[in-house]
Amino acid sequence: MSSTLDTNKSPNTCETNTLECEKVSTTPTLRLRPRVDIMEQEDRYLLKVDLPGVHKDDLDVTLEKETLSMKGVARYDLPEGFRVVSGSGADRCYERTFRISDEIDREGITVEMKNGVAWLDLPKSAMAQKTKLTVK
Amino acid sequence: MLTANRFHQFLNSAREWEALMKNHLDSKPTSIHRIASDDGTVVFEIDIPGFEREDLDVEVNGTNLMVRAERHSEVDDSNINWKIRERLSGSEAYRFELPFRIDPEQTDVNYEHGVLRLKIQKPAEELPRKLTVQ
Repeated sequence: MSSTLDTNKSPNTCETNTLECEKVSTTPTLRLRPRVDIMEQEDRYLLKVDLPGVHKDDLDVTLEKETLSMKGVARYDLPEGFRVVSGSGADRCYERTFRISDEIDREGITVEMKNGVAWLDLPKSAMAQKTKLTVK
Repeated sequence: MLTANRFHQFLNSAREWEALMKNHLDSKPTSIHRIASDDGTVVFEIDIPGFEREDLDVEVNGTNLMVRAERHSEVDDSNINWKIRERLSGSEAYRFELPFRIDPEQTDVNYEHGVLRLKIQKPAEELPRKLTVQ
């Protein structure tokens, strides 16, 4: 994995995230750590993060220094007159942070939501890409 | 009448519901489901992100509800160096057994934002009825 793109698992981060989750949603929330796939290609990293029920407008992706944070809230709207008989009736708050290095072209990062999965495209900077030199 | 009343009491018990649902979701740590009910309708929600609608197959047979999801490769696997691979791969299948017969004509199925949502009307004979005291 190296230091290029690490998931951040420090307890301090989790504690901070708890407060942020509560700010996002006014109803009780279930905090979840979403499953993620991280793939490296020659010129980019691809991240796929499972965020079922999260609408595009309820997803925040922020990049601060070397930390990329994702936070998405899936709201559960219980129809009037209904009661929850199984599972949790709370909103689900998905949070995960990643550490990225200078190898990533920060301006080129894009995020797209598709069927409850966030796709993040993190292109490598030109400096970080493999360059084949011509032997003269 | 007695049957209808007992059924209504039964629906109020979340524990018995859990026991009857026989779903496979609890064995999957991050798979989440929600079931809500009023007197006449049950609403299921199952989190199964990453599928297209045409990849989902929902089958009803008596009191059984089967959900199958066929996953296709989303990216070209060649030239990929996997760093972390936590998401489920391959197909997924879930089975639920409901305490009443499911009428496919009275069931709406919807898939949006990675959540499969089923709205099932309970059959008329299962609805609670008020008895007149004579």
